[in-house]
Amino acid sequence: MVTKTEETELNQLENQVENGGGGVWEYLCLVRKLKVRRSEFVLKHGLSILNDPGKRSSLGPDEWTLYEQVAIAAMDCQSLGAAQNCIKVLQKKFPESKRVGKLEALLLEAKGMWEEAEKAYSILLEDNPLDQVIHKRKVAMAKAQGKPSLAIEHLNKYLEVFMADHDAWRELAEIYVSLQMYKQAAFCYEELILSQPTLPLYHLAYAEVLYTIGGHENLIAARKYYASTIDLTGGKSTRALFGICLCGSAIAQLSKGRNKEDKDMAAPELQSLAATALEKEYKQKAPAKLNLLSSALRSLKL
Amino acid sequence: MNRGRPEPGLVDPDPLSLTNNNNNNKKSDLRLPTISLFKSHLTPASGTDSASLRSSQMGTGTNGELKYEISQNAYIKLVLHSLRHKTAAVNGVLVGRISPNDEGVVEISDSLNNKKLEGLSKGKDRSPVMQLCVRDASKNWRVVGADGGSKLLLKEPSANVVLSDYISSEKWKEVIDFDDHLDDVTKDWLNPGLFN
Repeated sequence: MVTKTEETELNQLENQVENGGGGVWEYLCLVRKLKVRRSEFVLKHGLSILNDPGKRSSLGPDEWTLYEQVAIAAMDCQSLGAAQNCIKVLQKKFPESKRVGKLEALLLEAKGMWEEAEKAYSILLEDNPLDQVIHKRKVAMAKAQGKPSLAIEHLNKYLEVFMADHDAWRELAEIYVSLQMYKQAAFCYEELILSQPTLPLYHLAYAEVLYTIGGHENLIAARKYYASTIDLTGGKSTRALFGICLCGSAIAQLSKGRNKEDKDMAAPELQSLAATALEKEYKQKAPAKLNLLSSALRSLKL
Repeated sequence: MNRGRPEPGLVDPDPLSLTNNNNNNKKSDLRLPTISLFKSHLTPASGTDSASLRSSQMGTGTNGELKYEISQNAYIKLVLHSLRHKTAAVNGVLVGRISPNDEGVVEISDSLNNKKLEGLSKGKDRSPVMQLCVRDASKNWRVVGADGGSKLLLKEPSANVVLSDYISSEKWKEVIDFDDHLDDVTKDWLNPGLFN
């Protein structure tokens, strides 16, 4: 996951590089470090270094890392020729390398040769059954072939062994959401919140899944997690503020037929606080939309 | 980065008064679709050919089915948004009304886009490039036709030309969706100045 500061730094570097201001190597290293997906830029600028013998030799041993990075970016952009060329260079330099073997299998994936890729990965797994990257490729292949349930199966097996892999839990949650299996998605977010309770992203995602499932209890819980998101972000999460308002409105709708005891006690104050915060934000930053916001908020009150 | 998203209720156009045609929503005719939703998925390899549409001929739809005629701006916004998010399937809401000239045609005037997929159709795993769903006054969504592309027609035949122009100038970088707005409220999801 990338922080806002890191993202800003990355975008600044990217703009600089795109406008010919140099810093290409810095940019490529940052992309690698943050593990972000900027394949078009990596391909373009990485190739510009690799195709220049002078620049290439000045990299020293990092040259091979760059070949690897560019190969993967090329595959992401469907420039399979460029990818093949990079891999050839690496094969020459590191024959019998497992790391290069992974790239070869990835290329098979990029070409859509699923069976061959599966075979290649299985062979690689024989030597190293605990290779996390390869296990994740199997999930990715299942997804790419439009088999989300198979992806879920692989991912669950993976998580039994690597249960601390937060990205995997997030991926699993998102696959569940895409299949509308919201309860299962909720479970994943619960695991994430348990392991990293101060990350507002998980609270927010969990709240949104709960809101989507609906029902009185889930809406109350969703509101709690929208509230904790606001707490953890110092009130800066627009989504969470909207979430509070929507929850309040949905809960009130459901409570219409209920007894007085079940009546939602926290609603009025929390909802009006959130509404005020939203109006303040819009007044400051997007005054043109303020009327729209106000009428939307009004329509949420019953 | 993918994050959780609120359900479509949050971008329900009714309270947000997005077009001046709100009066139409008050009509009680159950057959009158007022909002459409599409889902489109562009892989990096497929390019835009699969998303480009044929232009339409005016006339009532056959079999009493409605035709959906999409305006140039709505269509271009739709495709540009998909291009901006090449690695994801995207959603959107098309806003339209029954044509005042022809009862068999729905005129789509605008499109509002968003990223997260909220499943409205439990289709097969391999989703088509584009799927069109429609909601009538009873507020239920239903998928239109096996191949949404055949129901969605271009109003202006020149739209594809304008579109390829925009694509070559990387216009899709400027398209803003509601998610972007929630991240930064200064960004306008209606994209008012996009075609200036």
